[in-house]
Amino acid sequence: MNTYALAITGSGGAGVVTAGTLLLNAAARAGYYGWMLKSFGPQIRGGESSVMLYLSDAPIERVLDRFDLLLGLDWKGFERFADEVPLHDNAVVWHDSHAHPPELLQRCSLRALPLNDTARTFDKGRINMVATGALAAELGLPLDAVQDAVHKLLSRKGDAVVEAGQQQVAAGHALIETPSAPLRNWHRQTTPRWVAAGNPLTGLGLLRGGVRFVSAYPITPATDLLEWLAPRLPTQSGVLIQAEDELAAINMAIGASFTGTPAATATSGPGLALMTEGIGLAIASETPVTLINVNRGGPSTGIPTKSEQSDLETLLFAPHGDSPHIVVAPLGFSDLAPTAQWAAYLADRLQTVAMVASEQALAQASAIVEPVPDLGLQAERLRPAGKACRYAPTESGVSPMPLPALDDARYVADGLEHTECGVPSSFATDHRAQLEKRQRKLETFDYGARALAWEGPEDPDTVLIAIGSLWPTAVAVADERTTAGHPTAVLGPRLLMPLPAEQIDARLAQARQVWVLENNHSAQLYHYLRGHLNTPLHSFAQPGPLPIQAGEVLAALEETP
Amino acid sequence: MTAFANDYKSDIHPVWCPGCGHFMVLRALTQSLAWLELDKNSTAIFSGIGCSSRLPAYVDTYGFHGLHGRALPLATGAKLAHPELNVIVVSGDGDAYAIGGNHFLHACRRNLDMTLIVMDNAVYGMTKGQPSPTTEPDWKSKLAPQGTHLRPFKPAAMALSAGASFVARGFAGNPAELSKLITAGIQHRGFSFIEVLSPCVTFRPEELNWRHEAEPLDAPPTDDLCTAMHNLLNHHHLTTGIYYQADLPVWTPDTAEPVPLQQLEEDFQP
Repeated sequence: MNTYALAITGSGGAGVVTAGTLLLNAAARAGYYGWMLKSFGPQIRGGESSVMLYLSDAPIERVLDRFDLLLGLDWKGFERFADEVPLHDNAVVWHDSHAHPPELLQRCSLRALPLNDTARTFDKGRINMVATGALAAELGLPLDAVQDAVHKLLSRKGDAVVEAGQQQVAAGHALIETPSAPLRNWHRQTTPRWVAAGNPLTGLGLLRGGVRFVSAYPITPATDLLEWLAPRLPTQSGVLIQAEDELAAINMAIGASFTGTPAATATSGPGLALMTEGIGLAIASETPVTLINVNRGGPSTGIPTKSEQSDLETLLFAPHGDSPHIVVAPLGFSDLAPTAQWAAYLADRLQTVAMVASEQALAQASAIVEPVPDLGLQAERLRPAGKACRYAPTESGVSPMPLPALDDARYVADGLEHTECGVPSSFATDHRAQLEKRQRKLETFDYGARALAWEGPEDPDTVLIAIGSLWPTAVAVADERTTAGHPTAVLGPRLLMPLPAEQIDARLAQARQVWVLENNHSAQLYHYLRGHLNTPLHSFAQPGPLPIQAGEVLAALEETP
Repeated sequence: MTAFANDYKSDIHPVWCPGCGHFMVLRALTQSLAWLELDKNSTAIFSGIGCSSRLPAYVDTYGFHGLHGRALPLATGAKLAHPELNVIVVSGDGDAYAIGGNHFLHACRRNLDMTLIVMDNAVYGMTKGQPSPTTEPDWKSKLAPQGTHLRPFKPAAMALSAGASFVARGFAGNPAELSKLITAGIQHRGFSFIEVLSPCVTFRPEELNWRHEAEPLDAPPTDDLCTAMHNLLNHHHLTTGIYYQADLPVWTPDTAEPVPLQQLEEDFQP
């Protein structure tokens, strides 16, 4: 697998993200794969920003340890990103001829280019368009692939804008006379692929899973999921409402679901905290809701624009009382849509809350991926044939749920403990019967092969356990170790609650060492698994906001005999 | 076939204290449902937490007894997902104006076609006698031994300014009038707010005197906000009737031409 990593930084308005997006789309058109992260300063507008673009000739959904090329459209606020852009020893730093890279880059191999001068030869010329052309040339991306990407991105603004953009890209392309063009030697594939961001893919998964009602309150980094859904949900006869707060958002979803419409909400840590009481209501009243939590740095307001896996314990344990529910985690970027779809299906099948542990590092990343298949799973509610007691104790624990206007089996849904017919009750027998039923329906359900993923040799020496953005990193680590003679596999517990503990223990039985990798400070996944598994575990836990790199994990494993 | 109020009562016995004003509200509401002959299966009553919020269990329609303060969001979700549903929300002064105060404002503003009945007794009854947002400043209780020193909310004025298109006040001691108000509220297209003064005989027995003070509003319903506000502020707080009824836009979610789901995947083509 060949890879190339480049970073582009600049102040707000310089067009860093546009440049990255164009290159990513051009790489897709040219038959390559790629992964792109965006990073912003805290300012609303005008702050510095950067994109990290990882290109490859094979699917890639993770960060690489070092960058090959860094381009500063300007250098305002670069220090803020310096930690995020570790450079190779032989990395090249590009800068505009009139700009001076900061001191800390002076020992790198610098290359000055007349980017601004070239842009100024055009009316309203833009340095980022010229730079896009120059970078495409340097990488070995065909000019027409970039021009097509410009057309797609700018076509809404009219032909004149597209043409001007294409001319600037071409002028930039011409600046590089002797490109190193590493991509030219790579294998190119003409199979169809998507260029997508994580939040929209998650939204697609919800729609595929049958969600037709979404209520939410804006919060970084979940907002762009809602913004993707806003114009699209109505095309599927669905409803999206911006609630007055997260308390309203979760309760609106519960109300919609009560009428039979599969409903979801999306939020991030602080919003999740506010939704907690509502989550308990949905669990107790057995009203299905799918909840997407896009994890950002916590606690409290934390680091809103950056990633972490630190909401895990909240997802698992936030609702008070005994509140069994479902928590699922995507295994990497491409798994966002299937996992959201699966969650929507599970919520309705099991009449409970299904939470998806998404992360900023996945949700706001963009990637070139194989088209993500539809699982064919859809929300489906068990309904009564005639009169029925709403919370009747069935063998599966799932009781038929009458729907207003459709079923002649009226009942009052309740967060109070209730009898099997929904009458409030504080009797021990009713409480125990309902608790057992709500637990039983989750434990007896057949979750199938999706519950647990395994990648690597069947009989490994070492097993890594990882979810979310760390899954592809763990797979890369396992590949490298296996190649080096230490057979290593990765286990991905997509189903975190209820945890298939016996199955996991069985898979881990032969391993000499098992490591739990996670992007938080307190080793939340490690402690959760330790509470349920018999297998001894080691922990590799690092908080955000920096992504964990394969090299760091490899080093930690090597230090342990 | 004529329907009767009792047809709409469930067989569950209320937890309320004997003499509680809420019995009269239940009677007035079921009378309205009977007058309107609403289909029981197509009617849902939403509530939060508190004495008033136990009401859905006592009516033979669909219902949802949710969280403290969150009845309106539940009802909002249900109405948006299922616009044909007759949606009624019952609440109390603590539930609607304190813990659920923000939802009260936003539900008025959205003006969805639903009816909110707030049983106001100016006290938290279920937790045994604490002051609420409508309690007088000098009312003394265990939690506020010297009174709250806070002026009470004027909920009807808040509803008017927040955008409710139907604002009325009734009195539990006059269930015949109350039922007419509730009926008019249910028939009104838009968000109907009915403030019901409903005495708490246990913690505010002095409220039984309301029956000597309550009197009908001496002005017709108006669709002029200024006049309605004037009428509200110029009459004492036990003046009952329809203060405001206007034909205001009901919020509707965005709509779009249906497309096959697969077509949305075109977003992801490079």
